[in-house]
Amino acid sequence: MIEKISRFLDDDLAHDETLLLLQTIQEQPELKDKLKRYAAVSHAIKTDDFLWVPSDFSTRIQQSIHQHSEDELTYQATDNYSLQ
Amino acid sequence: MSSYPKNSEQLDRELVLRVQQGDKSAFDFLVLKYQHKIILLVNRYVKDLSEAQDVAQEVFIKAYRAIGNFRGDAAFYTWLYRIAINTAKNDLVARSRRHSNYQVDLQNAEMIEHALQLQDMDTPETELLNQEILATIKKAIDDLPEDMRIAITLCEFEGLSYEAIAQTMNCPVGTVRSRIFRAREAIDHQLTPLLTHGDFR
Repeated sequence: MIEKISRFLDDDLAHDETLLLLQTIQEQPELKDKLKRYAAVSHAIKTDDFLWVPSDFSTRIQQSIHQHSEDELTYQATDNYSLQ
Repeated sequence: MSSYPKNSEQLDRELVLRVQQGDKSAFDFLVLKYQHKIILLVNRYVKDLSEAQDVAQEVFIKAYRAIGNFRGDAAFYTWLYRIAINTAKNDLVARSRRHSNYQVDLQNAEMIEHALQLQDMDTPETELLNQEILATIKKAIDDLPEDMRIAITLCEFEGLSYEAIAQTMNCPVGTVRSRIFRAREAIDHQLTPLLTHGDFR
């Protein structure tokens, strides 16, 4: 699986393999960390600058999206209620 | 690998469709796939990594909110790229306004001194750590066996596809995959101890 992370970085994975990998990465934090480190090293080699994505980067996006969806549902529920 | 851009766009289209159908985890995949690119892109404008990460988060949130309108006329990344550029430019304008107000407020000498002290905080340590990390990566590459060093160099510095590297090194593509993977693992092994610092969690 880790070798697939390396191939994913280099755009070498087929469509289905990529989907499966992304699914697995979501379920296994250690694989997500591996991807982060590989990506940071790849960037550092190319640019001489080490870019680290914080662990909570995607979590904060998820939280905001989740909140947005809840607000939208509340709005729709209110809207439906007002139509009745 | 030459067929990848088509595969990649096809994957993005499928993920976008899933998001449009209510599958939020599909959007997580898109974030995972593009987070580095977007942070780097935004950082070119805002020139502050911490700010760039905040702006990049805003980019993805905006993209999620607008994804229902995405019809696939352009590639997903092209669409995301435009959102990122616009968000980064808006952030620059907002920061510039904040800065103007801040300058006016900073008439008090004590506040200026305090602000300068705050500016200086943690920068040298972070900078030193970054330099140590870059030196470690460089040494790890230098220490690699020649076939792995050449493979990772052609891949990262020259941007060659696995097929092109295989032709250059006169070996099967599977061998190239393996050499690049093992090179990355060797670098990762050297690097991981340095990343226990609080800034890298």
